[in-house]
Amino acid sequence: MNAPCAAWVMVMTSNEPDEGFLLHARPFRDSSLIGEFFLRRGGRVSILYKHLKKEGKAGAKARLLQPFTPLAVTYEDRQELKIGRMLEPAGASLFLTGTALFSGLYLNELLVRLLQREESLPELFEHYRNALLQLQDKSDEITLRRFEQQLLQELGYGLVLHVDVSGAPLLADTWYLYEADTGFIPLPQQPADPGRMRLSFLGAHLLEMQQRQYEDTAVRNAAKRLSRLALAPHLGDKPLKSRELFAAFQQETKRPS
Amino acid sequence: MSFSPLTQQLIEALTCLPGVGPKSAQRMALHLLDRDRQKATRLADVLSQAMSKIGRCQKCRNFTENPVCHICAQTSRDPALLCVVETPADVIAIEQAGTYRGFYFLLLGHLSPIDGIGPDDIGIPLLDERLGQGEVKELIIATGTTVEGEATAHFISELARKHGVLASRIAHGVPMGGELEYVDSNTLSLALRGRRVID
Ligand SMILES: [Zn+2]
Repeated sequence: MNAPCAAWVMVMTSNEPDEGFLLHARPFRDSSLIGEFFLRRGGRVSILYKHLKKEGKAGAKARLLQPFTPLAVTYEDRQELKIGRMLEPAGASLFLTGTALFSGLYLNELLVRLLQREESLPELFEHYRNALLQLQDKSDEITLRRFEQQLLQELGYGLVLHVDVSGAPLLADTWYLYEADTGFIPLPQQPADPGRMRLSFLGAHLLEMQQRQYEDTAVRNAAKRLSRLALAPHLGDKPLKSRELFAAFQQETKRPS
Repeated sequence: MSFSPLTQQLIEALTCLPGVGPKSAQRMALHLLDRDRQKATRLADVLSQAMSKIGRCQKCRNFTENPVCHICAQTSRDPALLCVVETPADVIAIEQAGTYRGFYFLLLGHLSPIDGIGPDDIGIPLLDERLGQGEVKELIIATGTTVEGEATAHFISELARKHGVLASRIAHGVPMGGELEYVDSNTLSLALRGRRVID
């Protein structure tokens, strides 16, 4: 890259603020921090913030660097590293509490684990923002199930939920075996073997998912199972920690007092 | 110029200190060797003793060279009150404020799924056991105001509820002497949420 071009990139990035959310931050050296962001235009980027103060007025920047806070950012693009410049709130912070907070952390972990760096995904960004707004209003599983499907779709791993492997339309009362990379294979009946059952779905549930209709508990549970199967190859061996945490939290809330 | 192998090792070892890079480590090493042999020997001695003798308090997880730390050993404190904090520095801060008369429990961190830190890593099983003993009546949750601190607080409040222990979160908000226009929006929102009736 020649010098004038590099300068042009720098001017672009530092003049036009991008909007986004911090997904995760990790301390770097003594007073610096590396923030993993999901930006509307920039996609997932890592930005280094140097010499952050903790206290008083000077600490405002550090306090802003929290997940679920809409931020306007500019940064200086230096090959490997992006250096944070402007950082301002771009709207009211979202207040996620209880289950919604754990759900939000789950969405963030999914994004950190699955998004390629610097791939612009403005539609997924919009889905993420909407999911957080929904979680703030009312924490329910529907938001999570819908987002998982949207994520798979936007990353190009979307599931074809209306036809089986041969291209025939799905039938509501038929059971289908899910096979990654292939699709849904029709079965003569509901499988009896539990191992096979874990990979099988009722046509009616898949059709509801296709319509993004998750009001029915059975559909939600099927969607949860299907998302896990579809996400698993992309997540690799390391389990999602927020999923474990979420389960542990729900365990605590369910136990009688 | 290169240093002798042992000098080089010393320099490298010193870079484990927060905020100490290779340059400062070199300065420190040379200072210790050149000027302050006696004090440096004492430092080495204390450091080695501290590393082998200081463990965690069985009750609160604070650092101590005894099975139970000096705070947990005090009989004048109120055993019905337990304050959950993230770090030993938080204990010092609350002790210095001078108004709290209960005991502490240290998480030595906070829940952070992306970093792989779960309930077991912050001593939740021990806290669970402590609350199960029935002596604690109120749990004061003083974790940080970060998203992770908040998630940790929620998790612990559910644990408290399970044991029928009253859980409270310390108030966060506008600092004393703080002018509203200079308080950042996140702090202000927290302060508004935590507002209380003037009585
Ligand atoms: Zn103790």
